[in-house]
Amino acid sequence: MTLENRDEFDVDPDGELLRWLDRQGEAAGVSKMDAPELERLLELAREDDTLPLSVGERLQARLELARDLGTDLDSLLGSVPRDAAPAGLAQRALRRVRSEVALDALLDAVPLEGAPVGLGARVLAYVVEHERRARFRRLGALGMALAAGILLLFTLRSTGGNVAEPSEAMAGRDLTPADLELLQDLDLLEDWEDVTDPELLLDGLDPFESLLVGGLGETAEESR
Amino acid sequence: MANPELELDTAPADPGAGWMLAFRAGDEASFEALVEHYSPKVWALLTRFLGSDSAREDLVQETFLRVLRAKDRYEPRAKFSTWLYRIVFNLASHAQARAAIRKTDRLDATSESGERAAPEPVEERLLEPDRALEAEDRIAAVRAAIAALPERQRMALVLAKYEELPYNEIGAVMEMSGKAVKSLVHRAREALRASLSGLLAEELQ
Repeated sequence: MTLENRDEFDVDPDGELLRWLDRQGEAAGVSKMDAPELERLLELAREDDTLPLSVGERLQARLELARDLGTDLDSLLGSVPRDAAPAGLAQRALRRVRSEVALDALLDAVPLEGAPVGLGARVLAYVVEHERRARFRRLGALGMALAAGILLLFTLRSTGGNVAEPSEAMAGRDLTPADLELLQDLDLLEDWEDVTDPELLLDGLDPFESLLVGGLGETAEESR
Repeated sequence: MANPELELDTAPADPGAGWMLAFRAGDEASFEALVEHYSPKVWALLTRFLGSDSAREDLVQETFLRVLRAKDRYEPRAKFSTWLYRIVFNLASHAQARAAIRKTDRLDATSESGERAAPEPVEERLLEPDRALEAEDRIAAVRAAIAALPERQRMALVLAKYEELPYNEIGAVMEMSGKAVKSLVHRAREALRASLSGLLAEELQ
């Protein structure tokens, strides 16, 4: 082998350079290539102008390392043979790579299953409804108070707009059976039944109003 | 086997880069050539680095899988082998970290259950320099001494000594300066001198 044959270095890198150096050493009559010998060899090869750059770099690196390690340690480390790769290593690697690539392609070919149509909207509706009910429960007490207020308002309207004096209003808290009968006659309670219909109530209201009215509806439902 | 020097003008001194570029251009045979050419190197490097770990073959395969998946991103800025060794170095480091965690877990489980630790496998026993020296197994002793080096020192030494990479290239693999690599090799040398002192004395006789 000659130094010009760069490919042989690349194709058979298992210590070929070292063996080449050994052969050069034998030819030069030295049993071990120590750092000065290496240096001399490198210089000669460069003078010869046939030394490929990659080989020159490797020789230079080898020389530098030999200096760093010291000849004795370098030689000892060099006595360990390179482990030969098991037979069929490359073929098995290629097979594995191909199978992974084929699997990738297969997976790519299958479109991801999309979510059912309207799922997002349904989930959102569920979350909103859940949250709304939670808020309604919190506002239940407020709703009861408002219901009483509205009832009072209807009562006032039924009196022809005459606003009761505080004392009369206080007296109105205790509704007698006759009062209730009067209210029923005026269909006010039926009106109230109507306004508990959520669809009717929520239509055209802003969110906060919807919340309050919804709470009233729920309270009315619970109270039945 | 595809010969990139005949097919491409790029990087004639770096067949790996040629094959990789050809593969990127759609020549599948170039990838096969690349695997054929570099798998023994990757194997040897992993063996030097991990010892006779049973995961080596998987790691060789994983290395080329990563090469393939990086095909479109590959740019021949550095030597192909430098880029390849960096993949190997990362995979080997992760493999070692995982093995260390498994070993710790095993030891924890043993100590928790109060069981006596099982004898180490033969390979692990050989990784201890003193015992290997007792067995007068020179090669095993050198391998054991290298295996006992800290990870980065070991990788720097293996790439320098057995792959014959210049310090600056090792630095590119390990993402550090050439000077730092030299320092690692120096420290590795001191550690090896200490653990192989017996063999070195024989060498000098």
